[in-house]
Amino acid sequence: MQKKRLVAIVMALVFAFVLCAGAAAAPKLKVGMVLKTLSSQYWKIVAAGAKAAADKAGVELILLGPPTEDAIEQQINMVQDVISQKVDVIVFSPSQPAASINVLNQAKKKKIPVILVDTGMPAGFNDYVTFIGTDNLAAGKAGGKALAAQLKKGDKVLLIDGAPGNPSCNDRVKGAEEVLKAAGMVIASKQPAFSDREKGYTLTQNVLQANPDIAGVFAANDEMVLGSLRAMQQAGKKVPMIGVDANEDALKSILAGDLYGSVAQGNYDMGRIAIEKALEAKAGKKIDKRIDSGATMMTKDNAQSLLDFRMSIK
Amino acid sequence: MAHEREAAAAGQEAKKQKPRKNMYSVGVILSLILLSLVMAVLSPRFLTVDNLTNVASQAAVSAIISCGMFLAILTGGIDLSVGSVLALSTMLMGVVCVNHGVDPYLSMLLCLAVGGGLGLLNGLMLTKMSLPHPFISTMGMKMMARGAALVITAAAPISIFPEPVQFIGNNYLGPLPLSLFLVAILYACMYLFLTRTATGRYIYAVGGNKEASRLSGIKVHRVLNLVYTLSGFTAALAGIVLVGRVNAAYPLAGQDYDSDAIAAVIIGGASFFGGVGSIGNTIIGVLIIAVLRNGLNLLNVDSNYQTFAIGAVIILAVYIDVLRQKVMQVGRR
Repeated sequence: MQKKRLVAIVMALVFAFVLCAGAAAAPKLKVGMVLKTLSSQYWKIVAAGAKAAADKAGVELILLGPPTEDAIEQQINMVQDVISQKVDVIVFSPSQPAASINVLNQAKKKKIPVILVDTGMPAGFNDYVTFIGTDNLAAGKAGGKALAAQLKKGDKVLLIDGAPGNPSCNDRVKGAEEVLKAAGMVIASKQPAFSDREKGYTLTQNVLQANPDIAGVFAANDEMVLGSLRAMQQAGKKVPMIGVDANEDALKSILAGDLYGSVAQGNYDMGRIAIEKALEAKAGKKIDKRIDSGATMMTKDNAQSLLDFRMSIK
Repeated sequence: MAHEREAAAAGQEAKKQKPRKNMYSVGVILSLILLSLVMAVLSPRFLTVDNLTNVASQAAVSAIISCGMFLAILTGGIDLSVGSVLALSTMLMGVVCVNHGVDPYLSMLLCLAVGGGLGLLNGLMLTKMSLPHPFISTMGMKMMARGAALVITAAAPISIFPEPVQFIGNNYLGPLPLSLFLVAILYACMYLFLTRTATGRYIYAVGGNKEASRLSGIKVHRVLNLVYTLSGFTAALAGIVLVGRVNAAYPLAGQDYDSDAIAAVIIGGASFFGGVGSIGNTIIGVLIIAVLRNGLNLLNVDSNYQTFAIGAVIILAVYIDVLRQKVMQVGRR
């Protein structure tokens, strides 16, 4: 008898809680945001942009992300879990786009619109509202333009690319190359350093053997340009060098007068725009399929303010 | 003489284990129910059909891997290579099936054969090369298989599999994922194998006392080879379900599953020293981890706390086991 009573009490409690939760004031919109991770600075800033926008607009934000960017199954489970919470919109950044197709089809079945940030889905997959991310070609052009402004016609330039087949890096280098060529610079060498600092270092050492008169460097990310910088310094050369990402090391190097600049991705804006577009999607507004979250050229003039802003985000 | 005495002691131990095992079963099941109740109270979304089928489909891959892991741990060993074996066997399946257009059923057979073959290698390293502990042989295999999986396509994922490969991982019968039925069949077969066949009993015996088993005529090496082959096989089988679930094979697949499977088996009460454990409790261990992860996701809890929580649960589960053994020992004296 006592056992039965206990069960009854527990059931009543569960029931009461369910009712309370159901009766709580319904927010304007419930957004489930699943990022690649919440544990790196880059993603914390995306999350901060989304949180600020959600607070401002009275949006309920469920924010999830696995401990690391390669925990692919965990991330897919998280998307499933936000689907089952009946969110109104999903904001998603796929760690492994090819493996995320089925789970996005589940979202489609439940008629939950999906907004992609930072990373798009494979060509041919079109069941999303919009993809908000850096226009890498434009980011490369911004870097190329800044570099060209520091050089004169006929100067030799070194371009350092990411892994072959890494579209974001390849596009950045392509953008920079177009602008530099148009401005009359000579591309002395264009090689991949696989987004790795040490490979950027070795590559630059080798290139300097054949082309000791390199007058400028553009690399598709900061890790590679920082490696390249080290090789240049050891060879006793000081030339304008530009990377992409504006990570902490790069910003500090810029402030120290070593790197000339770095192109910052608009990751805070990615989060902010995602929430704004989620509201628009719910309201049935027409939204562009591709939104550029912007890229800003960081040099000695504005590096400190970006560094301060980053530090202000926990 | 000494061996006989040991064997006799092992026999007595086994007899005494019966009530102890049942006690633990009740404890594990109660923990799962309690955990589910807490989650249900905290999140109104937890006890919905949608969400419970989610948990089932999320737990399926881990459940299948844990089945093989249970056998390895039951023999007093461990299989650290399961996640990597899953990745390599599914990548090979992807290469032949998607890139070379080989028949999907044949490709799946190949996947299972590769998994079983890699498992057999794990066993042979132990029995023929006499490596001192499966921790070493399977750790070596873990790295080799992961490396090979990355090399095959230069780290690129393979996607869009034909329907037969996706069948189990991506389809539902009513609200129930098909993978759930596969898990049920696998666990039922494993239960019958372990309790109703001589080979099954040998696995317990080898885990209880290798030397005594050898002396009583059990071909210990053959049993160990079989166990690691089965562990590789179940990893590949889990891989097919995973590929079906996400419609892609990728070289970093299954990384979380090594430790999740070990954790599930340990939480399910299998002894790390071998010879003690029940396959039924292993599935409860799998569910405890799945409910914990799912529930914390529903509650919007940072994933780093999930990792922390599962770690704490493992230590708690083993500590309870240690305490119970101490009590038993005092009782025996």
